[in-house]
Amino acid sequence: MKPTQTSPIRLDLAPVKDTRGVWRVHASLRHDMEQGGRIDAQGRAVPRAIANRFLCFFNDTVLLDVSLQPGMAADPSFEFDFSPETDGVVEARWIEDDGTEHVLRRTISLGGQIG
Amino acid sequence: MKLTRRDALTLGLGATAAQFLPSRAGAATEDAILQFTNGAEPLRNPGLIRFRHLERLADVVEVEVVAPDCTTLALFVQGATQPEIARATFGPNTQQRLKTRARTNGGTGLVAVARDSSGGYVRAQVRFDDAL
Repeated sequence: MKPTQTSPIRLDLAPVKDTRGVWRVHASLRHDMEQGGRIDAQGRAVPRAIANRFLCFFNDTVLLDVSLQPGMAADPSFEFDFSPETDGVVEARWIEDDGTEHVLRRTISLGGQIG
Repeated sequence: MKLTRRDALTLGLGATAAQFLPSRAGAATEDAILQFTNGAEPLRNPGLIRFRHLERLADVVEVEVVAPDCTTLALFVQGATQPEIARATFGPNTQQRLKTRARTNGGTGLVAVARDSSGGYVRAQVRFDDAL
């Protein structure tokens, strides 16, 4: 039996308590965020390999655009709030140095449902 | 080796001068900030930018920054050789509050610099051992 591959990306959405119309986004990526220059057990320099960009959209409108540097901790995450005016789709997109992209989309409705 | 009076005076002058030179790591942080601001010196105005949360866990720090009216926010580690952590641009429907996690990287604290909607820059800083 093949091992199950779990997604490295996570996207949590929830309405902010006591704040009408505001939603909280918590996006994270499971990633070593290798800074470069570290020496491994075999004495070799480990090259830089980080996720260097995070983009979050709501219905194709940018909510947050982040350029990440090697100073970010491993398993990077961002939490922020936004005010949607309609139901729609939140998309989180992480881009690595080698061009690999990790994308996750979730649907929200202003009634509070999350898909 | 014989230490002459002249040698002693030279050593003393060198030590005094060294006190006034910024450390290379500290200078790297200020250089990175000036690169972000295109050379402008950011204002220090706690009403425009502040740290709301700071929690250190070994060599990682969790941080939350609030900068109302800002369009872009950059975070730096004070005293690290690679000081820049991240540079975030907020969309029109996004509140200017960001929580994330950074490596301490041998630094002493964090600096947040925000670009406001009129194009000016403000900064705030906090040491890792400060209580918020």
